[in-house]
Amino acid sequence: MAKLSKVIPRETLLLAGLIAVIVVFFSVTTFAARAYHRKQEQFGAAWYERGEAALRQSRPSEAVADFRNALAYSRDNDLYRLRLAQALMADHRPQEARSHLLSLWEKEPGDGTLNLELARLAAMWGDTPQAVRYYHAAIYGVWPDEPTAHRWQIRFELSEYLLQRNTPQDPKAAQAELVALAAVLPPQDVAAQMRLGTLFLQAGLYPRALAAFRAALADQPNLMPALEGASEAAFRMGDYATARHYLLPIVAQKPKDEHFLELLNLSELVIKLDPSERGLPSQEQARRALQDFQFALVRAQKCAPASASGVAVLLEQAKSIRPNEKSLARNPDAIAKTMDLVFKLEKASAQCGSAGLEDKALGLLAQQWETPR
Amino acid sequence: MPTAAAAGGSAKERRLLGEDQLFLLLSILIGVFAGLAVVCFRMAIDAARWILFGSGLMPPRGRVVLVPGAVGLLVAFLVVRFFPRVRGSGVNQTKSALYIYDGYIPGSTIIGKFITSALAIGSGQSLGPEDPSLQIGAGLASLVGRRLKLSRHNLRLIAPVGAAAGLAAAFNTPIAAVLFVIEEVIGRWSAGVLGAVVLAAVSSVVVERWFLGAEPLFRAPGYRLESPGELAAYAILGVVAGLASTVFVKSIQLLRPWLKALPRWTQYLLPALAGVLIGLIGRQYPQVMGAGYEYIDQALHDQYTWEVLGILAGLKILATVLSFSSGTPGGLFAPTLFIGAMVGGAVGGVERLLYPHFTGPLGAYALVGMGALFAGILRAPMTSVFLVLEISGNYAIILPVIISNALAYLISRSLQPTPIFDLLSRQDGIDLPSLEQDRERAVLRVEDAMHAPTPQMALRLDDLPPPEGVESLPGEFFLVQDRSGYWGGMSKARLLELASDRASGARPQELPHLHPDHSLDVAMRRMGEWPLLPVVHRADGNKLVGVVSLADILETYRNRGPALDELAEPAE
Repeated sequence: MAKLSKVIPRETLLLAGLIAVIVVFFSVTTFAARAYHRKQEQFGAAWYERGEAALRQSRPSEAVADFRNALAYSRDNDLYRLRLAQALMADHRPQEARSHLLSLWEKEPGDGTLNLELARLAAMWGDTPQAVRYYHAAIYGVWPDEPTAHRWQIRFELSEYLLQRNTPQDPKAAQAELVALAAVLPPQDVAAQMRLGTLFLQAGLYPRALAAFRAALADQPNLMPALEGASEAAFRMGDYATARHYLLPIVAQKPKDEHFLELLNLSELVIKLDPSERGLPSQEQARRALQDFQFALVRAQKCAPASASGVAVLLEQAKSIRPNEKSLARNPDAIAKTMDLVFKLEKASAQCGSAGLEDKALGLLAQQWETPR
Repeated sequence: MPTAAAAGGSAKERRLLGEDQLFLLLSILIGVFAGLAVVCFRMAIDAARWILFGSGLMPPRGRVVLVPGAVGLLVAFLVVRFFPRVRGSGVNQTKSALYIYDGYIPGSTIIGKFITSALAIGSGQSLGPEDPSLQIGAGLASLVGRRLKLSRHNLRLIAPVGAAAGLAAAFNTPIAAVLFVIEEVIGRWSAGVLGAVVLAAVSSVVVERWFLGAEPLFRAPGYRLESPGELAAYAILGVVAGLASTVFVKSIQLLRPWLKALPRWTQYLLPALAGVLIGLIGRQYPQVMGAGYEYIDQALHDQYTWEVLGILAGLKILATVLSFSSGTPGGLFAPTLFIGAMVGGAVGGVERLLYPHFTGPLGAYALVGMGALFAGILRAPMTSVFLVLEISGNYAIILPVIISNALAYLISRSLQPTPIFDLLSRQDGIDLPSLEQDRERAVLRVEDAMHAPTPQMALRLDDLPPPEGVESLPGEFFLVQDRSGYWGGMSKARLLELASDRASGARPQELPHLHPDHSLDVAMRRMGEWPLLPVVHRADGNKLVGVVSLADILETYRNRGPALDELAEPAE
């Protein structure tokens, strides 16, 4: 050292020595850090596996503890954090889950899974605008596997949520979601078409519901839930002939199902009582109108003593008209006037207690007449 | 600023680099060295915890009391028998090296601090690794500086440079580390020191990130101010944090000297006793054991109810006071952040209960609480603000942080005038300079000493009195304004000569000028042998606003200096 320092300044030698020490220390630290990280990864993975197992066995609170341990060894592991959030959700601790999800969301605002979980949380808290925002972000978000299927599922979920909310503006929002969904769902996907049809029914879009059920029936013609859905949709949209078409096989298979039996009877009766059925000869139209008039008159006469003056006035009006088959057959306007009186009598008599099947059919017929075709 | 001239005897040797350049180069090397040491230190703490408690966050019930007690005995033995200088946090020891021991920190202190702190924190003592990291960094720097035979001046400064490197690596916060060392250890901003401290901090953080990752210490969820009214909620948090800080510091103030006064043999038992008590708390609330970073992260993510957060804050104060007062080596930074996170979360929780629509995420309150307690307990207000920004990587939170920290700092300062590090050094019988008091100390200025110029004292060259008039002027030295408006000085003899012969061409002598806002220290330096100096306006150098003499300066120091010192001294 003394000899060397004559050639090289002592300070330079010391600096070189210091750098050499740092290099050695760096190497030792590298070695130690590798072992340390390996151990951390092992611990993290072990706790993660335990958490997954606990979740599979429906023990979410244990899973929460395990995922927390896993996260302690890998704070930046987004998968661990996501699973922790999901375990917290499963353990009914949404507030705690939300914070982890938000933390992840800040890093990946376009992640489909995160947006979906946040949407569910917002939906749980009744924050509809936020929920819709997150649902939409999830729909248009990134899904590493099966993105299309995920997007369909989320739109279904969003529609169901909006329909459950049952507020005046939500059905329209739900209808919009369902229409968008109908445009992309493959017609041969029976399960999806069935779900779509059911939601369309709930949303009050009966023609679209019928179309969805028909798409399902095209693949499986005897699928009972599809027949039921189609019949229900057709019935509600006032297409009683179509409803009857789908109700006949249902009642044949389920003769004791009162609901569908009643729907079938009503459908057949509406068809039978409707004087406006297309292609009907004027004589038959007149006969049906007169028959409807008789039904309504009988019910009103039974009701008159107990009812308010409204029914009596209508009865007086009915007596003054005194329609007959010939005059009605000659004058189509008279049929319309008669039917108008029939519907008024039925409406006025509604206060006198439950209606018979014919009266119900006339009520449905009235709705059909009132709806512009 | 280190200078080559200050190198003293070593300047005789042949040198490749000047001492300034060598100092800066060393700062980088020390940063790397300290960064490596801190990485190893943190790994050692984790390894100790894994060995002693296993890999789960919840320690096994069988070991939760036994381990801290048994390891406490071992730590106490090592401290008492081999490493007596490693007690406490390490901040004061570094200040002592700077102000008392010419930058000397023995190598054994580095080793002792490393081993005993790693054991203590790993075994669940409620202490943190940051202050020991600071001392380890300072110790390494001191060692390197001694080997390289730095001048005494630079040897003193090298320890804080290492301290900044150690702290920066421990927190992964270069700015906060630089600020803390400047604010709390060195106490002055000079370009040379700042450059060295910054270089060391940056190089240590680079090393730390190389090995342990670049992510901030905590990952706080997003923050947004729900409404401007929410700032009032953060102000309340500042007040609560100030009170909590006072409780913490007062508890240490009471318990530590009482334990120190016990017979010497009890020092072998106190860390073990503290460990057992903390273990007993840990049976129900294991969160209070160790540094508690994982639980701070959980508080930041809304994982606790406000009641639990409140309990954890109280228990952590108790556990840390026990651990620290028992003489167990370990730091106060991490417990401070823990208590702050819990207090912040609890206050946020109560506010959410009362005003749910005006209260943001509890994590934001926890984050702000960390800064507020840091400002209240450690009394480094600037550091506390930047620390929160750096450890969270979230700049949006700055407004609430400033409000809460300022309030916590002011309340803590009014209820507990002596900062904790000054308190600890006084308890140890060392009189270290209080940098907070230095900051607060009022400066005497020229305007406090000067007096208005009189026509007999300040004359104009164009308007000199006749020789008999000059003869009658009081004093022997006068301020004279020449034709260009410059104020110079003239003795009575020269003035008489000029008054007798106006064509003699005598001009006033050049004088150093002063401004009213100059400190008296500057005035003293400029005064030299001059009996009087002119005080001129800053915007108009020809406008004389006052005159000051050496007697005026000394009189002002005599009359007003002690009163101003009293203002800065604690009232206790």
